[in-house]
Amino acid sequence: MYKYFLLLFVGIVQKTAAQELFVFTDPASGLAARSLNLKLSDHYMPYDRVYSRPAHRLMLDAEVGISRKLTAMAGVSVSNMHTYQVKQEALFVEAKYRCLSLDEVHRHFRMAAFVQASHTKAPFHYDETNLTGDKSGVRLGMIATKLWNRFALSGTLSHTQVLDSSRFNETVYIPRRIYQTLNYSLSGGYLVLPRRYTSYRQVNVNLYGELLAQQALDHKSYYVDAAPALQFIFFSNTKLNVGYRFKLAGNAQRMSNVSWLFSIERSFLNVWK
Amino acid sequence: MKTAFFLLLTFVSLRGLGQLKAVEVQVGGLSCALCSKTVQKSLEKISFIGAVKPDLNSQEFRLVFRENSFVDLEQIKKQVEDAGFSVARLQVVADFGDVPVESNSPVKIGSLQFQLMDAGANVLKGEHTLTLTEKDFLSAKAFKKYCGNSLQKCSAKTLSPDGSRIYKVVI
Repeated sequence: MYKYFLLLFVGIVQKTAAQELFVFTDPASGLAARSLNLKLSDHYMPYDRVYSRPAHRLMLDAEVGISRKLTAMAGVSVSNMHTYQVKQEALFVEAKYRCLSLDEVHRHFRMAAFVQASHTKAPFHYDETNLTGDKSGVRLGMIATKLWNRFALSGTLSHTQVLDSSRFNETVYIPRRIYQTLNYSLSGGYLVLPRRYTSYRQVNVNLYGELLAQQALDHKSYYVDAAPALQFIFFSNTKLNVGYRFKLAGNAQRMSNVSWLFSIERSFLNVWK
Repeated sequence: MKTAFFLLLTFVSLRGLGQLKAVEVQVGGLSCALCSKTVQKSLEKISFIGAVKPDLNSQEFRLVFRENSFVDLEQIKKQVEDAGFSVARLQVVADFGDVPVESNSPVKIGSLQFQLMDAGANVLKGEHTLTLTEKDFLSAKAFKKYCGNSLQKCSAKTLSPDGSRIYKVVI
């Protein structure tokens, strides 16, 4: 049985090519110089045990292509994930630098380094070191992405330091708080439609499968999630993403082991000279 | 005196009064229409380009120039790279007119100078497609292919006495 899966996978890789516009993670490629990408996302958890109701985090972020290799992003989130009412929660920024590009026709191998930082007003709950609302902190990481025509494979490895004030409080020690994690992911993407391009107006459909994982470095806590996602691209400039995320393994304390991510993105090219 | 000699040498060495018809650039590192559109929009920003006609499956773009414009191949390469990708192959479609072309003599076509690496002593008439064999304008794999044929094709940039670049090409 595994042999057939392997043959199918090799067949896809060799005969087609991929997409790398992942829903849950970033590829090593950045934006075009002088371009802008606006994204509105809703991270939705069907059930929050503390408040016995669904929880949402709405995020708006703007990504800018500073140069052909450097991309910067800034975002803001509002949420009722850690509070009873919906409140403005976090500000987060990111810079990504593409440090390696080996391009061929219909394929590439690229690597990038990135740094993220966030400041959140949310109280310190759970083990996840998410920097879009859950925790204040910094993250440093590397991304490697390989594209073969319709198929793309990408891996990310990063280190997160949570910079919550409780970490530096010398009078009150709160046990079992996680301040340092290793985060890693493996993402695959496949261009399902169109089979052959005829215009920029064709709707593109991409299918993604991602593994998202976190390993705490200061306590024995980890999780590994699977995250299938579907993406529609309209007019070659607008993306509609739907992703579902569920726990495969782990012992980390989390608000929920399942969640959804809905987002819509619009890119603008040649925004300035 | 030295300048006058170089100008004379340039004038004597330049053969042909051909005309640039178009550039065809194949872009590497992409496979999606969204990426192609990014390249197209970037190329459309170039002042001497009148129209960009894409082939979304082969990722080739045919660039047609505005009349009497000064064509700059480096700017085409820069705009492709600013879009986040690379030039995998660049070809110039040129009309050679009726003027004979000799090997080892640069030929000026429009605002560009070319060294024909495989032409020999020949008379080239009418329209021909020239493929640049320099590293700047080829993917690593394609460069290896051309580089394997002749070491001369792998040499560094060649400049004419007036400082303008002479592009090594094959037909």
